[in-house]
Amino acid sequence: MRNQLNLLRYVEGDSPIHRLNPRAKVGALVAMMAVFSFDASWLAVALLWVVVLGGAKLAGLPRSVAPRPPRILLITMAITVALGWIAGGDPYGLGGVILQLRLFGFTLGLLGMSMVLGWTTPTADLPVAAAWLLTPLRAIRVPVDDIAAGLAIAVRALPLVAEEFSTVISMNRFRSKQHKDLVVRGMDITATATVASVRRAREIGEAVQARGGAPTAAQIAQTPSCPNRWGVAEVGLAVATVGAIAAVTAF
Amino acid sequence: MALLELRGVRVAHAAGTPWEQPALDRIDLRIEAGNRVIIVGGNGSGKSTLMSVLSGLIVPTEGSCELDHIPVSEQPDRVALLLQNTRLQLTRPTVSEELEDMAADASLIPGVVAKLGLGPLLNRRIDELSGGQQRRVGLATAIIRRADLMLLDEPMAGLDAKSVAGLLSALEVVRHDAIVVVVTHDFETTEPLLHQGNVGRVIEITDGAITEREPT
Repeated sequence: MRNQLNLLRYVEGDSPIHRLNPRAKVGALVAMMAVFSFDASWLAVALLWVVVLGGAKLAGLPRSVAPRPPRILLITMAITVALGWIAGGDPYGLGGVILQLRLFGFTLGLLGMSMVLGWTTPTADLPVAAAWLLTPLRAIRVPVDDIAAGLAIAVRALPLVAEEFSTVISMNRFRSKQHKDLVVRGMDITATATVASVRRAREIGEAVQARGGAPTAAQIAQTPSCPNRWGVAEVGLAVATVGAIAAVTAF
Repeated sequence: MALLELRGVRVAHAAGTPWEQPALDRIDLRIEAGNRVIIVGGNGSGKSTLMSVLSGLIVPTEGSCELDHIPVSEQPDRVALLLQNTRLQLTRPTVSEELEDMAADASLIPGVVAKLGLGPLLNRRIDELSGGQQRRVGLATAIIRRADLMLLDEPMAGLDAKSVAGLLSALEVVRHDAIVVVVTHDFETTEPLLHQGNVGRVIEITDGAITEREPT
């Protein structure tokens, strides 16, 4: 349904974006997040949206992949903009509003970029790409193997956990209306969803153990889609592109 | 007297997106008060989606699902649902709190508790219960809602023979004029339910389409 947030759901295709090395896509996303976090100017926001919309167009993604914004998000944005208006600031007392709008443009742009990445990259390739990119951190004793295994499991578990959350929330409609304490109800729902998620995580963990334990990053990296010189070149090119964009926005 | 009607119900998951997946195809069904209906189907046949439509959790992509000519989704107070993964519907900390929260009338609780043998569990935390015990608590909450439409998703799955007998016996206390629909892949275990209401019906679902067959 259009109102679902279809993150990490692959859309079949053979576009240049689909064929682009997952490591390059993940690397570019991380680099953009890092760079634009330091300089989220209007120009940076505009460039970010050019990348998102251009990427989506190049990937041949239909408009229907984009979810309708949830009402709660729109309400939250409206309240935040109103607070910004109350705060005032230059120019013409709209400084707060402009700042909020720039923040929304930046945040939604990054979300859009993550979505394009998820729609054009097979889910199983994402942890592999992340593990490959994290490999240099071994030098400073970052537990790359554990992070990679955790990511791989999280990506697999995410749809199941999301479905269970959704079920817990939707079952609330069958409760008697005489108990309307929203705080208690919210706590109950959160606790139940958490227990269900923990149980799911335990089951997945047991399944991993039964198969001989979590794969190491080295094992993941041995998969056929992993590093070669072209991969390094693609990642380098992606990060260099982001660097160039950053340079343009900064100067 | 409740009347449940499905007219031309078609459901496609993620409709209108590249991930669209048809689940139910033009289903017409009429279930009257007091009917006991078993819906049988294999994995991926669409039975869970049909259950979600009957309970109002999913609004059909096309067609309508109405209870007494009003969409079921607008009348959650008239519906009781038992999920296969019962833990997801038991949100209160203890069994007694769960029963009190769900009861249409608190005076119904002692009778149902006795029938289902829940007395020793009343002060236990939901998380301490086994899967079978959680199923019994879930069934108790469904019964004490005194709903016009009672929907049970794989109620016997994973239960031993004694628990199955207990569950079937407990279903005898459901209002005789209520509609009870059970979705299962295991017809034999659930079959005794057909004799509890005024009419027992068996519906087979395959690839999102239904056919009615004669009860054995």
